[in-house]
Amino acid sequence: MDQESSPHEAMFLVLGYLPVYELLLMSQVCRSLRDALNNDVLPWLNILVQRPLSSRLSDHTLINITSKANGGLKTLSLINCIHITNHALQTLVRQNPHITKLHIPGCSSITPEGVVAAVTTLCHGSNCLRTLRINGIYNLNREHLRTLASCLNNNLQLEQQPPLFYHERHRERERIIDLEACPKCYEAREVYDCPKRECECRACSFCIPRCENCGGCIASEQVEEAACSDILCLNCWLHERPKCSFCNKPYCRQHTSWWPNSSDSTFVCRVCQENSSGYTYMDDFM
Amino acid sequence: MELLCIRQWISGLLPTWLSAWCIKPVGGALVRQEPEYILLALMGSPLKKIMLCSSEKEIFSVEEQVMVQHSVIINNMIEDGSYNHEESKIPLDCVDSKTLKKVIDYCTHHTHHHNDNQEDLEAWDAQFLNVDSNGLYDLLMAANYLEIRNLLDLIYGTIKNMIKGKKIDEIRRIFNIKDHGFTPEEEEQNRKEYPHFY
Repeated sequence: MDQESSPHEAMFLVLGYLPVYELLLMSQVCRSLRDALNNDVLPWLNILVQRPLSSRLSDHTLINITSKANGGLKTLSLINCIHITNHALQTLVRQNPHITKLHIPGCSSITPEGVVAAVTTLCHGSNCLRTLRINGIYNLNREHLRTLASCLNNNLQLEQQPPLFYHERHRERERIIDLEACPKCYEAREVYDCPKRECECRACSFCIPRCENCGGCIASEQVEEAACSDILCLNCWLHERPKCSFCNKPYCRQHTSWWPNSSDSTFVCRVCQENSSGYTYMDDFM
Repeated sequence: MELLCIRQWISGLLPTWLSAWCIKPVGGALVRQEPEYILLALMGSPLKKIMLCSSEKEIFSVEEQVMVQHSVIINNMIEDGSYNHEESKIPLDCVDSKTLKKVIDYCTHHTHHHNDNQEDLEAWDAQFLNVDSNGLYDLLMAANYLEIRNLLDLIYGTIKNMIKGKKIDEIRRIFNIKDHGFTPEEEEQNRKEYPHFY
């Protein structure tokens, strides 16, 4: 029988890799996909909630979604889900004790105590939580980090984490925990290593300013500003092309796409364009 | 050939002075190194090839290293010794020739170019996946069967990007879903419940 009317087998394989918003979308596309989503456990073992759902996800909905994994939830990523509270986190962790990845950055309604309780449950016995992201949870301090580290240390080796570089901070690194107590200010922050040879400085980005392009530490008198307001070291600033025709500033590597596609070879940065034309750029903040 | 026979045969070929060289210090004591490995090292190790057989019975010859590095299934087959280099081919009945050729292409490129910088590799990958949706499905099923993790992740990422930000009608068009299987009442219910999907 011709399979044209129902989606290809491959679509069912993809379901397990889609964020929750796209899962809901796919459940409306056709009946066989909806049935697969309602009846199968597989698509619900890796939950990812990001924009535009993150600000709308409530405790109740989250418990609903995670219960579809039937206790087998493997990874949970809640990006900036500001309405999720400790209660929902404890409930779902109790129902799914085998979670290996818990990423809850920016979930500001969750408190440090809630995080510690959840991680303790997940590191209990033979369960193994492998990675934890908590940047953006308020009021974390050194004590909390110490407790978390000791929980995770039961099953993992925290000392052998790969170094974290400032210019690669958005890339997914194989780190166990994203935050540390900064060696200089002792706050719970992301602590960056220095990629410069023979420089072993380690501190948060507030204590040691770092270059957006190369991640190297910058002495305070050598800080150069790019047109996007990110800071660059002198070397990267000099080498970065193109530069704005008015203010002579380059964009950092992350924001190179902000140069307008103009047919002539002049480059004018957004700041100078806005100043000269009165037009304001509205960005879709990624 | 039995490994023992090979060893004897090679030892017989080696001149005495070379046999004497087959000694390497290990932890303070002198230990004889297996002569066939020395010989292979001197000759330059021959690139071992394996045969893959598509569903259309076409045979493809690939470097063993390349496939073993990428495909868990093929790696297991070779490691547990069920594959005999002289005679056997690995039958892949669910992969057609066109797709198998592409898969081999991917594995070969990534083995030989794995030291390239990230941007070049990503550009090559984008070009590689520039196929129609049927081709993409076939690649996905093949990569799933052969368990090639990085190709799977690549294809899943591509399909995810094809879905992201689209409305239901666009998705049905892109993935060629002619009949959605909902009754008109159900379809209306869907539209009311999730208007921003449509």
